[in-house]
Amino acid sequence: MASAGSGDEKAAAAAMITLISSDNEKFEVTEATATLSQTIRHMIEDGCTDGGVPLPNVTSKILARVIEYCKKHATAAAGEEGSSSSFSDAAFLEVDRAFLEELEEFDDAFLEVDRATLFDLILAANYLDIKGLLNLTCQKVADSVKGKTPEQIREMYNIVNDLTPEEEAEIRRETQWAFE
Amino acid sequence: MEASAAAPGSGGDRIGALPDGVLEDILGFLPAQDAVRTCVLARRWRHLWKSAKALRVFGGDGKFLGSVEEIREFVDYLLLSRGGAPLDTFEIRFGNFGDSSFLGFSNEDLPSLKIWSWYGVARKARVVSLRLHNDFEGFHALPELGVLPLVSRHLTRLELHGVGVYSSFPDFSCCRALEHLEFNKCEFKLVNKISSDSLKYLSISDSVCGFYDSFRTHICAPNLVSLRLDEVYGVTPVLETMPSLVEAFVRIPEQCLDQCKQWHTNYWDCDCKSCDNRCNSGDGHGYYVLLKGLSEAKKLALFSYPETYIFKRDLRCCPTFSKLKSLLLNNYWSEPDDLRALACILKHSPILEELTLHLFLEVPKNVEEMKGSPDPTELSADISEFLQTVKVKCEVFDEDVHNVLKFLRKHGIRLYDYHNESGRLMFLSLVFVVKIG
Repeated sequence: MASAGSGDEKAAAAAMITLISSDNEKFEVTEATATLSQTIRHMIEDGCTDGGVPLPNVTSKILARVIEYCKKHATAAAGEEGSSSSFSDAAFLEVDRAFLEELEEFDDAFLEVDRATLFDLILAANYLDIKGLLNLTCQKVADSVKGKTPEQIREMYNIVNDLTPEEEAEIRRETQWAFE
Repeated sequence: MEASAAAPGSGGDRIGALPDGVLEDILGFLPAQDAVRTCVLARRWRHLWKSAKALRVFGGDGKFLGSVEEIREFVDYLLLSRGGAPLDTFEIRFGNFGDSSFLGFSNEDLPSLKIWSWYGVARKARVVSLRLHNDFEGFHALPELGVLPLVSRHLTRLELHGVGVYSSFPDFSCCRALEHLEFNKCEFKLVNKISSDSLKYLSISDSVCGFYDSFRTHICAPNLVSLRLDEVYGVTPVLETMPSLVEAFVRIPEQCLDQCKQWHTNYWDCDCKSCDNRCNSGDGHGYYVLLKGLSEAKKLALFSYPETYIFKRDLRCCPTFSKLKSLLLNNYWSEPDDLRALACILKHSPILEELTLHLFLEVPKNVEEMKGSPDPTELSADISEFLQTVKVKCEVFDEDVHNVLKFLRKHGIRLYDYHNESGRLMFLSLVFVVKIG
């Protein structure tokens, strides 16, 4: 499936989808990879992917990364079928665990990007409706905020405080129970 | 990406460039107190936390919410302030306050747990997870979720840890999307049935105060794919028919109530009926507790202690495991000397491909492993002709182990390839490498 390229050329070609970035670069991907995006899945279902899928909100730089993620996770999804096990018992799980560890390592490495790229990936995942990628990237932002004071968060993410001191005091009173 | 440059002068590294929907996702990954505190960041953030797609309350972890009272107050304020926005995930996790003498939460500690869980369900959560620290080793009035069944079209996953499950609560006929159900360290009382037509994965584990009623609880999950019954104390529940079952892991604990009274004298000759007064016969399921329900699985792990009779009882009228390809057993199955339990289950597994025997009850530090495969010309007619791999693990080569090897040889299976598992790498490479298609 995901490892197309061998076998009947026609069948392989039929399962390929062309994605076009905002800067007009074309990416050929398998259907299995593309359909990790619910947005694209719906387009395929509606039969409107002939001539390529234009993605005016996604640059080629970001689209390449998104495809890299989808390729890895599409293979994962295909590999999981039939062999996956929900057991946590070691005797049952060695194969799957090695596999999951590899996926986790991939995700960790994938997230080694600057903040601007991270936010672009979030926007792309949101637009393309790729749940796994959206969760992964949102989790990364959440982790960076966890345990920080509002002042630290504002500074870290250039958030301008447009509340008056009176308003802020009032909000703090309302939510006193959540502040230590 | 001009489209995202909504805030004037924003660089690409500004969180303010993200739409509300995405910020609600991000807030959902934060512990609740962190999410709430974002309300003072700026005007846009004031109410955003109330729409966070997930609500995760972590307390008693040594950092936040240092007492039962603080936990109660925080959650009450949180849910009241949050109001009615829909939720995807509702997660509660309360630890032991960093105090090892704190055994767990009682029903008096968390009288509102039922209301909290209903809050999650009413807000259309797909995932509800309630994990409360529970180290009680006996009966205890655990925080309860009420006796009424949950009603939700959205709930797909329910995880309960350290709560009391009573009466009709585990009737999930009104949760038609529920696929994943986990009970860990839960207490079950007056539960006739755990039932769901949609359920695919069920796990009941570490339940010291498990099932102590005078009858057997039935598990009715006809579409179950994966089952784990691990260390469930009390009276072992009855598994009803599960035609789609793929894999099951069952470990019956030493202290379960299904113990043979004849254990020391004539265990294997005892008819089980005299020991089992919870037969529930007359319901069509008759004589079986576990094996009939497990008979459609492709992959099984069946562990038990010698004194318990559940498997022995079911083997008296052994069903055929017509799809079983992979079987893992412990040394319960290799007693007594004639290995009749092992012989019986092998005889009734016509397409078995892989057999693994763990000839111990608790996993020992040092494990010896032998591998082998059948000689097709010598293979006994009582063993699957598809058998490819046999693995035997033991602690030492004692008489019992030799007895098993003798049994296998008699049936045309020779073991070679002997390993000592002191090397970790070797251990990993040896365990269960054959995939089941």
